[in-house]
Amino acid sequence: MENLVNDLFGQFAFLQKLGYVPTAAVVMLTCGLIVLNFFGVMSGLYTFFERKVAGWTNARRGPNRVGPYGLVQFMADGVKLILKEDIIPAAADRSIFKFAPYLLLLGTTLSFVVIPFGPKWIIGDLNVGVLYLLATGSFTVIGLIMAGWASNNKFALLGGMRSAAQIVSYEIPNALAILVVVLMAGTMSMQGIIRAQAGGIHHWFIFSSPFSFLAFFIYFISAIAEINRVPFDIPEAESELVAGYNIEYSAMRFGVFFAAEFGNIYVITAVAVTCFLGGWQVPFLDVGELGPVGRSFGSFMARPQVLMLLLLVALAATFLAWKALRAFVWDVRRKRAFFGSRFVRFHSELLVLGLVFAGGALVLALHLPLRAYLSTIYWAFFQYLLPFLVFFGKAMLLSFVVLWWRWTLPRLRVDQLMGVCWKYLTPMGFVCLVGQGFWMWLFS
Amino acid sequence: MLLTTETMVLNMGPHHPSTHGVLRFILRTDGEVIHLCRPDIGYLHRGLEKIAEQLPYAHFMPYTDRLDYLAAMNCNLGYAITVEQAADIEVPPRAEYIRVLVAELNRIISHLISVGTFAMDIGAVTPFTHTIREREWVNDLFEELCGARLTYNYIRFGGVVFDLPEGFLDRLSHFLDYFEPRLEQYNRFISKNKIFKERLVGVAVISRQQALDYALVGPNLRASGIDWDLRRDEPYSVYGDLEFDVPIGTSEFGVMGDCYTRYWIRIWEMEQSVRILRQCIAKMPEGPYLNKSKRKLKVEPGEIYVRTEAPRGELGFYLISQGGIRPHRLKIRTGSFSAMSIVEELGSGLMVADLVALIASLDVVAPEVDR
Amino acid sequence: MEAQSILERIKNIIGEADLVWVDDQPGDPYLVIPKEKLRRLAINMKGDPHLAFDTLMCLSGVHNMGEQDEMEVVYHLYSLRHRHQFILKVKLDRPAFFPHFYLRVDSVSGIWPAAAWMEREVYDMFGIHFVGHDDFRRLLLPPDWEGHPLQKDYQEPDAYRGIATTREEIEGVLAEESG
Repeated sequence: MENLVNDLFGQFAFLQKLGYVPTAAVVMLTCGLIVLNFFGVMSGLYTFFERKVAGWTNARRGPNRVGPYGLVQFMADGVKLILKEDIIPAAADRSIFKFAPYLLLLGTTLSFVVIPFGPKWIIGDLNVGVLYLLATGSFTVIGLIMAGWASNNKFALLGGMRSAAQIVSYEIPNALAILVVVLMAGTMSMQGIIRAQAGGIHHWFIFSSPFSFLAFFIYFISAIAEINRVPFDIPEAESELVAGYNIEYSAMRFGVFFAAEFGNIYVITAVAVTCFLGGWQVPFLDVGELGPVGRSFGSFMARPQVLMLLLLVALAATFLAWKALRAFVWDVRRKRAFFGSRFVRFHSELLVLGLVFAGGALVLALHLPLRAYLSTIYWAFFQYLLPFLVFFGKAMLLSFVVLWWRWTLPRLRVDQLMGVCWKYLTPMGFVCLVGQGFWMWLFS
Repeated sequence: MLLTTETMVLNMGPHHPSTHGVLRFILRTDGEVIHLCRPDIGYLHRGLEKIAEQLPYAHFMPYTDRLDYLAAMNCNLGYAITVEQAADIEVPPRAEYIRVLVAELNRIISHLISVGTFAMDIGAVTPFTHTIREREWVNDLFEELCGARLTYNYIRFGGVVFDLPEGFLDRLSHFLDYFEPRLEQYNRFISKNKIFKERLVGVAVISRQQALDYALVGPNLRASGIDWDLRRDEPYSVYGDLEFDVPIGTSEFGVMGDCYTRYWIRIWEMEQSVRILRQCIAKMPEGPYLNKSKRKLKVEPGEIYVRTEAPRGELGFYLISQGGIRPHRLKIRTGSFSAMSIVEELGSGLMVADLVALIASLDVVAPEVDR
Repeated sequence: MEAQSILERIKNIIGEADLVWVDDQPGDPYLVIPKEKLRRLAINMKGDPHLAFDTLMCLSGVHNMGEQDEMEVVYHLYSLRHRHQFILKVKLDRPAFFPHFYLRVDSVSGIWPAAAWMEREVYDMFGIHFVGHDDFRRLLLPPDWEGHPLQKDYQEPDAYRGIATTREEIEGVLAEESG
């Protein structure tokens, strides 16, 4: 199972007798459903994440009412957006106005197809993955111009104009920085690029040569500009253009713009992680080395990295259990009813987690006869879950930087923005590309 | 091939995120560049001057709160001094110190709002919430003092309406101890930010001559390099006994009279206000806080023009009395009004984003423009 | 420079005729000049290096309905160079017929640009016309507003474009709607 599309073709083999087209249609629908759902949840979680980061920088709390820690706030917001009245201005170009958000959405969701989540988890590992990403990224600009034009509002028009100039310009340094990576990896496939970074942190492309180190920053800056985030958010600059291209949008159409913006953050950070930060490669542990099911469990467990990991897990579990125990003692002393107890209110999830971790650690430590199953589970853990968590964690770290900038930095002016692109990033991109060529010619 | 292009008219305001209050600008732009900028004011005109003619002197005091809601104490003070000079009312020394104290405290929070919204107009949202947090503390202090948080109505002819509550000065100096390091934090946070400087240095420069021509006042005038502060040069109340520096714009950080200098002057003024406040706390005399001798106020026929230094510059009251309990005419001359009138000249040639920075840097408050 | 010596200098510039120096009442002394001399005096007051009145602090209109119906335009001038101030007044008759024909005075907005808006405001509130102003419109009130509110005999219209302006009127409308 190297990618989801192939796997699904296998799963739906019973449809083969209907012909190729229906099978492909079912496969595509399934993939689309998965992408859309992932995208929806991701952008929802990003709104939560952003508001928490905003709260943190703004010396306030952020959402904390709906659901645990305010986690479900985004669902409430989504419901609200769906229920709101969808207003289309009388003078707007109706068909374009209606279509623009979906084009924007299309650009974002298409990118999810080639973003890997682990060595075995990707929807379609295209051999031109990076090129495909650059292409789908350009859908955004069409959507924005259409929205800006169709709204028949001068602020929206200015916003659309700004975004067109900005996105088209910043695609150049963006592509140049990615070309450096393609040069190093020798492939455009996303999984191929990640596999080329195997073997420890110093093999990650960001650290493997000075030019790629520079290229990472060129990529990151121009990618932030491409998705219109602060300090490059001039197309929707609130204090100048009120809301820019989406000024006339309301209800779920606005929600789609919003979701696409947040989905884009995941896309650019995921690409940055893939191309420069080793993707799902776990630092200090080569996942690719791990063999298939049935490989000697004992020898696997004996690796120092695994032992370290287990030690960490055991420590965390002890800590959680200790906290839960203290809450429990607190409750017993004060004779609290079960549901009013501090234990249930604050620490039930900690206790469950603690039990799972502690139990797992115990089982492993005792080498119970379960180990045949366990080895499968642990193999799956190291092949699927851990790389996914690592990839996701790296992407979230970068996303945090994006959001953090959003809430700290002021915004550039239009001409300065263009200056940054054409005077600094683009020449530096070329220098990186040529320099990387020489570097590889000299050292390999 | 030549493209035919044409200019467009962009209506900015009256409800627009960066036109604080309700201002409106009609811009003729060529893409992003403004060719003609025409401010349209009056959306907050409440006819304060007409109201003043209908009311006894003391009854107009609450209206001065609404003159500039961000610096209500300073407006109170300006009006009180005007009427006191016209009617020869003595003010006990403790009341004078309390007045200076609240006026400077209000100057600080007014500048905090100014700095915060300035950063917000440039695109940084966070500084605003931080300045608001500090302002909240001062609002609490004011609430303790007079029960109100925004429109205080605290100053009376001949003094102030309530004495300082017990322990107020300690709490105030506690606030000042907290606030002074914060200023350094703002500098790290905003003033020294590369993008912030890039956006503001050299933008919308007001030359010395322009500043004089348009009768700019207060921080805007000083940013253009003119050494003029009413508190020092024509001291009223007890400012003569207090030591402070008057920050003057220099070319040190960019161009004299640009948006950045105007911003920087306000940060400096907050520092100086803290200094004044500390002196007020140290020198606060005991004694009565209100001269109650003249309960029925009548002003002899005559006319007087009194100006005081409010956060937005000179606040002038031109009072004409024909005897009796009401003014014959009360003209209010405010800093924002003249600051607004210069926008028309400076606006053309700027970009839309610069216009936003210009308005924010002039620290225009709409009710003060329209009155 | 003291007010008296400023006065002497002004007399040198425009002659003593028709000048009224008022310093017998409490408050600030002022000089009443005929409106024909205003423009010439203003140019000289700004340009004369000994006077150098570089800022116009305040420009106000006043309406007196005492023995005679007259309007005043008051100029508070300040010199930042010499740190002295001076007050000029121009008095305008306001006869019952064709008042706007008499309520005219030269604009000083070419001399002190700050006056541009202040004069517009005075026009808006008092109906005094300033001759020679570049962009002479109402400032605060809407362009189709009737009357000039700070005139002492101003009657507020009951409605503006169908919007009631008085409290009784609004309450009447509310009562109609609810009843």
